[in-house]
Amino acid sequence: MAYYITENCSGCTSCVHICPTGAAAGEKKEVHRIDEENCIECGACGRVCPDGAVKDASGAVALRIKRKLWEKPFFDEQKCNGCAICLDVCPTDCITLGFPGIKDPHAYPEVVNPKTCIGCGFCAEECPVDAIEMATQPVVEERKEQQKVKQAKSVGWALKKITFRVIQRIMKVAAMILPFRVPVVLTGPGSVKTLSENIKARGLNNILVVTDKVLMELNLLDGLFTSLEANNIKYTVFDDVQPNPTIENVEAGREIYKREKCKAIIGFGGGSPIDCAKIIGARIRNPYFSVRWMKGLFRVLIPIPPFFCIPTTAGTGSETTIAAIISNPETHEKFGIMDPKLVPKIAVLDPELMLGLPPHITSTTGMDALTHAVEAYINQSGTPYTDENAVMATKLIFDNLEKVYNDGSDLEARNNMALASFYAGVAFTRAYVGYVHAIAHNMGGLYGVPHGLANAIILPYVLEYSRKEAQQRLARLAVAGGIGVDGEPEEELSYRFIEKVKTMNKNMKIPTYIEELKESDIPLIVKRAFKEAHPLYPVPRIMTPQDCADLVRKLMADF
Amino acid sequence: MKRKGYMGKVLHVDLTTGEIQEETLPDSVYEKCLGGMGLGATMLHDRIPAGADPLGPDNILGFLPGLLTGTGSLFTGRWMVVGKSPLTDGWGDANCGGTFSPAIKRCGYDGIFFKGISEKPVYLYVDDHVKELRDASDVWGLDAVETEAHLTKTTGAKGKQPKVACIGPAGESISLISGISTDKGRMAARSGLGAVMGSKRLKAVVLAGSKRIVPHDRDEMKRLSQSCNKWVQFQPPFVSGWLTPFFGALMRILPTVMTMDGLLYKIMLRKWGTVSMNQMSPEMGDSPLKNWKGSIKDWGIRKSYTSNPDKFTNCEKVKYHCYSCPLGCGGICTTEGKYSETHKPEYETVLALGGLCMNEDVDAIFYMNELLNRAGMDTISAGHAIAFAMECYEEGVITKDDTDGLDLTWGNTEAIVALLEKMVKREGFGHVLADGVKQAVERIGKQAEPYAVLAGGQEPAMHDSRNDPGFALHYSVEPTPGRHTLGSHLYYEMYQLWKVVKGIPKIPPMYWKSSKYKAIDRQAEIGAINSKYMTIINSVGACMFGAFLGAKRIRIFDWINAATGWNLTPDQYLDKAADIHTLKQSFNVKHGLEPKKIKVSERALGRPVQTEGANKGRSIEIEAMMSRYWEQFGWDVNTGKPSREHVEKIAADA
Ligand SMILES: NC(=O)c1ccc[n+]([C@@H]2O[C@H](COP(=O)([O-])OP(=O)(O)OC[C@H]3O[C@@H](n4cnc5c(N)ncnc54)[C@H](O)[C@@H]3O)[C@@H](O)[C@H]2O)c1
Ligand code: SF4
Ligand code: SF4
Ligand code: SF4
Ligand SMILES: [Fe+2]
Repeated sequence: MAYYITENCSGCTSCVHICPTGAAAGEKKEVHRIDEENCIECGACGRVCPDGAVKDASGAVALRIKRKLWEKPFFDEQKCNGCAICLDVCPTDCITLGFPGIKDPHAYPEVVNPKTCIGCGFCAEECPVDAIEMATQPVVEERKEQQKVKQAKSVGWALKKITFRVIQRIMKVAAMILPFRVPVVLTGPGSVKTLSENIKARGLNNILVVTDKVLMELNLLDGLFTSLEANNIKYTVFDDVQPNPTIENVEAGREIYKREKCKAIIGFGGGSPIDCAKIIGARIRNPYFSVRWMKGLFRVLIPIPPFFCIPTTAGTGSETTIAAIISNPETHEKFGIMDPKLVPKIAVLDPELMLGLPPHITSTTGMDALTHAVEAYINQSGTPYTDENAVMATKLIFDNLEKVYNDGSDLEARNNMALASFYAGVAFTRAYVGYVHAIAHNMGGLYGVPHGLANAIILPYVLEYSRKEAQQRLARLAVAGGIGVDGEPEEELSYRFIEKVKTMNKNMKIPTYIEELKESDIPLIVKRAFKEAHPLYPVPRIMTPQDCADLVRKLMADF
Repeated sequence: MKRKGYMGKVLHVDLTTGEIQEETLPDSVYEKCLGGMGLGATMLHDRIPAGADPLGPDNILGFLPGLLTGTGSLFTGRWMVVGKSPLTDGWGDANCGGTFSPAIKRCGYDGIFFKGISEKPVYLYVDDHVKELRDASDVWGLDAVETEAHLTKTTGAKGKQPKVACIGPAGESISLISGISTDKGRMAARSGLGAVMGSKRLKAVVLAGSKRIVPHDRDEMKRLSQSCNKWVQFQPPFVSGWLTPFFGALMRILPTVMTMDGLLYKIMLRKWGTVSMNQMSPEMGDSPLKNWKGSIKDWGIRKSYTSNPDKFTNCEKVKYHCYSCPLGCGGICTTEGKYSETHKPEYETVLALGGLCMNEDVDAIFYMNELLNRAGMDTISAGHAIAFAMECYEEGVITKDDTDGLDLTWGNTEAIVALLEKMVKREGFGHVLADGVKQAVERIGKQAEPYAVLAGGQEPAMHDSRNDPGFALHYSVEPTPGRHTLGSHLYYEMYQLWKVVKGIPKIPPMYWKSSKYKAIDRQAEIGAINSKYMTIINSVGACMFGAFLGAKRIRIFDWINAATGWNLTPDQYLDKAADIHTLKQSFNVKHGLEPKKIKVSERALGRPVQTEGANKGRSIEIEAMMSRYWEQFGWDVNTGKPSREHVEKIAADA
């Protein structure tokens, strides 16, 4: 039994191109033939034949159908059991297994490329539980959407979401009661000197300065050293911190602190040295708890030694936050240690230190700060205080980031960025960050993508995902950021805000995808991102695993 | 296109001459032997000459999908590889899942058979248009995962992505405990058939056909599948890993057995896979420990805790289903260190490389699992070889001088990993163990023999025959000895065959434990039914875990009828299975094996009895049980050999 071709054939070769098994063959402009042995009766040749020359096994002429109207499979996840029979039967291999869904850790089929599907319906025919229905592409899309909504409304998921929200509320209240310190801020050029005097006044001597090699080579610390020496303060330098500091970096620093019997710590540099310095302090005072153990909230039991910090990038806000991010190179995992005890006593915001920051670091760290401000602002645990800080930060970043990117020596703009980063830090350390960070940390952990860069790339995608829920807040930010005025429709403003982020990225040559991202890692990324984000981050819209996987997939270079 | 579920043809490849030939089989062959293992046994029984060297040109290696594969039935995506085993010198077969089984049928064949020996490494490539042997020098030497990746990439044509079955370096170096891998490390591991493939210099079989597989009555197939699926999808929440050891301990302490309903096991399989037994089995006495001489006293909850099932699901990226499986007991796990990903280790692997060697380091087991999968070596046999070496070391039979300086004390993870790496590469002492325990005894010497636990040359699996006399029987009496996948008392309970076959023993909901050890006749009768049912399962390509659901819930017999259009009763199918089983036994006899001699080692039978632990004081009267079992099939009760007339009659019927 097979399809066959009649004399009407004009030899246009359409059937040859579409036939998945190579059964239809022939020379151009000559009557084609179908090899009975290999024809699987998928009917695709008939659907494309312009001459009505293809007949099916029963002798009926196969009808030509516009490709747009070919039916595609819709997979009913309620019924599907993941048996993969459809994958095997599909003659064009266009079905693959998707990502583990909400329902369970099993993977279910999806059509990756509807364009290669020839609409044969074999998958629907053979699915043992009739989980597949054939329908035209728009209908399939619609059903898929409906299905997602339905799934997101399922009782189990609803309960989960409620639990998250309850915990977030509790944390919000806790954050209001807890003694959150804000470090004393020393601003303006030359504030490094003031810091030394301040340290002296506190009677501290013998200090560990944590920094990285690049900064040492740039002689950026010279000012600090001279002023420390001028005040007769002894110090030891630990400069082995790598970008995205590791557990080993922390341990190495701790050894030096112990060896030199230091009494206080200065973190000097970007987020990496500062975070490393924080955890060195934590380990010094909590020697019986490993870095890995401290992962999470409130796990630093004994307060760290006197800690001062001098940021040289305007981004992480680490100089005011309760967080430190450490990498575990073995598992390629980045994790946060969060405890109010990690907030420094004094933060020095000296724009002069940032003048030499190369443009690509300026831009990405600046976008990190923007991400902090935006995520904190659209989150549900904001207070008037955090909102105010987030708004100030956003405005400053909108006004100054591209300026410093183009002209790194603009001292005023640098100063503004330093402030913005600080404000954003104040905001997010109380109101948390969101999925952008949860996903970005995986990009850093798995592929070593710089934190700010990952954030910058991911931010617009996540905003698009939660735009509806965050519409009002995004609109307000847009107005505050000076890209809109009060009274304009919120929807429009929110779109404009996202557009603004995208243009900023574009202007600063930040790509729209993550080069290194591998599709096979997506399930793991989703799993880890959820571990980080749930239940703590009070995001405006909670993602389902499928949503998250879809979003991460959009970050792939060839999406 | 046949509307009978099978394809009606097999392919013969002569590697010596390079000839490739199709053979069309009459319907009567399928009616006689179904497909899969049954077809393999029928084909090889006469075609492999008596006394053929398993590693020589006369041995035939067959790859067979099941009769039900691709027909719309569930749990039926498994394939068999058959041939004469170099490990037991008799009938050899190994079963494997993945996605390879339908790929054979989609090329249009119910079996692909290889004989002869190729001069240089080759692989077979088949799609809708070509069937050819191709040079494999590119992939010779690559591990199984690399080979598969390379071949799928380089041979992919229009249409279907090719499916690959291949050997790793272990098979290439003719390790007698090597297997055949598909889908990045799913193994047809037992019987040492990877060595047969290696001896033929056949690196891989690459299939990319897109033929359709059409059952006789699709609607009925679906109806049956849907009723089966319902049971599989039933999954209660709040099943937690820390409960499992206590469950196991309870089963140990109670003097009675609660008859097991497979639905319970299904729930564990769906949640964790076979690793659900990691703690439960040792607790209840089902796991052999410390090379079969230990007991729960050596491997308490604290020690087994590192292998708690939750540990495995925590690093599971996504569940893994074999083709047509609605359950998905497998998983793809992340690992740390050299490899970033591995199939979730199976219970057998965890125990063989864990409790059997007293190794508590589960991270190391993940690594070794991937190492062995890639090398293409059987984890059960490899674990056995190491445990055996450890006991020899303890007893002073071998010393550091023999082991290249490795300190083979029980539980020394570093030494275990190092030794395994040597085995895979056949380096130094690794070479001594690389062909399994039987060869190791020959290489070390007679004084090592007391520490070897074997069944007719095959290392038995991680289910203690002292805990279930059914395992003892099947380890000892099957044409492929030492297998845990052929039957046990527990399996019989779960099959619930009495619900569909009249006149066979029904197990009450509860019975005294001790009664299992006394009822010799009953054990033999049950054992024979197990063997027959498993023969059907292996012939139709079904999965044992599916069959555990119970015969009323997974309607294998009805599926066969709906797929083929036959109309036979379960009894009739069991009779066919008995014939296939007899053929396999006859194969062994023809090749000079004495069925009496292949029984499992004394230690595994409780001789001498253990003085502590779950199986304290238990021993199995295996000889009587074997004799009664043979009787069930009409074989000689003293020798276990089927009579010539019996075999000829089977042949004549075909
Ligand atoms: N603690 C927090 O709250 C928090 C928040 C966000 C991110 N982080 C973490 O901070 C780290 C990233 O910090 P980062 O973005 O500041 O980058 P970074 O500290 O890793 O620095 C990036 C590079 O810029 C160089 N650099 C820094 N300052 C310079 C200057 N003034 N002139 C020239 N070169 C300079 C550094 O030597 C380094 O090579 C990540 O590990 C991230 O996870 C922490
Ligand atoms: S029906 Fe399908 S397989 Fe047959 S010739 Fe047409 S396109 Fe090819
Ligand atoms: S209809 Fe189904 S089987 Fe046919 S090409 Fe499309 S996805 Fe594949
Ligand atoms: S065949 Fe049906 S049940 Fe199986 S994976 Fe495809 S859609 Fe799901
Ligand atoms: Fe950040």
